[in-house]
Amino acid sequence: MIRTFFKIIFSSKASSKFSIGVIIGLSFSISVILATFGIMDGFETSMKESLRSAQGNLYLYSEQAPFQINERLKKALKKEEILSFSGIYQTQGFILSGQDSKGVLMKGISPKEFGTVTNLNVSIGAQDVALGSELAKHLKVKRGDFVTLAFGNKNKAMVGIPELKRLKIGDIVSHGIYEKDLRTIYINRKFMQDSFAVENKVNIVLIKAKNNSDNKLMALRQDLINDLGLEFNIKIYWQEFSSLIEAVRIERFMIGLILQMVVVIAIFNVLAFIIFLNEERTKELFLIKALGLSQAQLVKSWLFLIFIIWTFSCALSFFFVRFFNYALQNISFLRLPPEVYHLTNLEIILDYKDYLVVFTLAMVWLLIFSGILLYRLKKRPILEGLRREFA
Amino acid sequence: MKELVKVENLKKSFGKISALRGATLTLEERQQYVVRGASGSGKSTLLHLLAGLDRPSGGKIWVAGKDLAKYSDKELGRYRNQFIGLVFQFHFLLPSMDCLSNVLLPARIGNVSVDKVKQKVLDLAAQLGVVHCLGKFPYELSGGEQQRINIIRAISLEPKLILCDEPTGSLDSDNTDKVVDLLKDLASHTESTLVVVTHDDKVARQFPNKFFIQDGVVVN
Repeated sequence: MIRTFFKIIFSSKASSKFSIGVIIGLSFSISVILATFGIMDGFETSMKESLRSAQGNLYLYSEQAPFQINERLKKALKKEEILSFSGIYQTQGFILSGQDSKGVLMKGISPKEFGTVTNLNVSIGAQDVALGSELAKHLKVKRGDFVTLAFGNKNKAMVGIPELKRLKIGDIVSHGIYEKDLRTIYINRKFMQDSFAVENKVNIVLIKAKNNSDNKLMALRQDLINDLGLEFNIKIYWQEFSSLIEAVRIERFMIGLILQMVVVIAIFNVLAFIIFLNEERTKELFLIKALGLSQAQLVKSWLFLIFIIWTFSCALSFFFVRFFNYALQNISFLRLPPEVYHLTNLEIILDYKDYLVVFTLAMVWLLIFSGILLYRLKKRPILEGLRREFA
Repeated sequence: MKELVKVENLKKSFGKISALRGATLTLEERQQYVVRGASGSGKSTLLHLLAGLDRPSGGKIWVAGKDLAKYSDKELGRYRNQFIGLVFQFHFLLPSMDCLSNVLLPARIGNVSVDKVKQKVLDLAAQLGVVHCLGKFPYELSGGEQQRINIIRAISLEPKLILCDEPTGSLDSDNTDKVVDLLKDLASHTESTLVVVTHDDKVARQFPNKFFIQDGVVVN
């Protein structure tokens, strides 16, 4: 029966064209919401991944002074949940190249340890420096060039006079976070410790955990606080941007709600399509009812049509989202300004839950609105089509 | 004769206009009836109510002892599909389907075995001389051929009651006689009750049982 119904409904080019328009409209609306969710999710995921690559899963520091990774600390860090850790000595300074200069965060690392904890390979020798990619762009320097670092002098008798060091650029690294790529440089830890005469002390320890789910990391953080007391501050890698991530989550929800309007508008196209078919095919619909089709069967047929429209729209929206993603990454004017959005590159990341929520909501809206319409159509007398035939 | 349909004091109003004002009649099994009346007398309205296409404003239609008004939507659908065979004046064939698909439409709607009905349809088409029309689309047929296809569709599921609304209204005199003979023969063959609504005296004369409707009331 459904086949016959479809044959009747799509017997003219106008209805076929209209249905294509309706499907494109609905799929575009669905894909707008999906793309928005995907951008928000992509922002959070990319941000977290980038942060993880800059500072492991957890980091601890002391507000008082540089500290040694002593036996007590080592013992606390020898947990089953911790895979590795790496001490860093970091401070702030200036980098100079030609006429350009920039305030930077100087991180003294042991490249091997640091790579194990963060998966970010920084290849520098004892007298080399690695620059964040945005900083290298800003200074217009490349690997092999020389830059000068200016930082506070250890000599108390010469307070106010900075110490200058000329170093070769051994590597240019990218974290994926604009701010970090613009403001971070990596130097050999030993070089830093010697320059600041702090022996083998560090002021931050990066930790790589076995499991990087938020809940597990929070539990591990609490464990470490219990073991180490208040001497150290312990933070999860994303805590630096936690308010931003939370804001994105709230924004995602609110925008998702607002954009439902777009879907509702597209659903009015579907309703217009049903009304159009009902008017255009009144005689045919009368005939099949006169030949025995019950009102309930007719409503089922309409609902099946709506289901088909929804299915095709969902499928098409999937491709629209892929297209948006491609455009976002490859068309220059669509790229987000990294200085505003922190990330140098943003992609649409969606998981099955996003698809499920958006597709289900579209279906719910469709059922609500078309339910009202079909109820009204159901009340129309069967004979209306016959009267039109004679009219 | 066994009673098939009983109509009691049937009323139908469209707003302030009363199309039927209390029609009463009885249709018996295997009988052939003609319903006559002037234009606007309510004869088509009576037919539509008998076919379950509309609900009466008052009165009762008893079908095999059951009040038609108490039929559920599903039961009413089945009633229209399998109890009633409708023949329309303007053929009402779906232009997007070939004639075979058109005549198999009631079987498809009623979930009746299409293969079984198809054989019957082919036999009927052979009997009515329209086998060559089955593969064609309605617009390729003459008026007489279209009406014969329309009749095949109406009786394809062997309904107990065949209702014809001005079946010869759009035909010439030759085709009118043929179609009336055909309807009577087929109704006899399938042992169906036949009700023909017409304002054509020539057609009416060919039926032994006559109802005359005047101002919404059956007067004889």
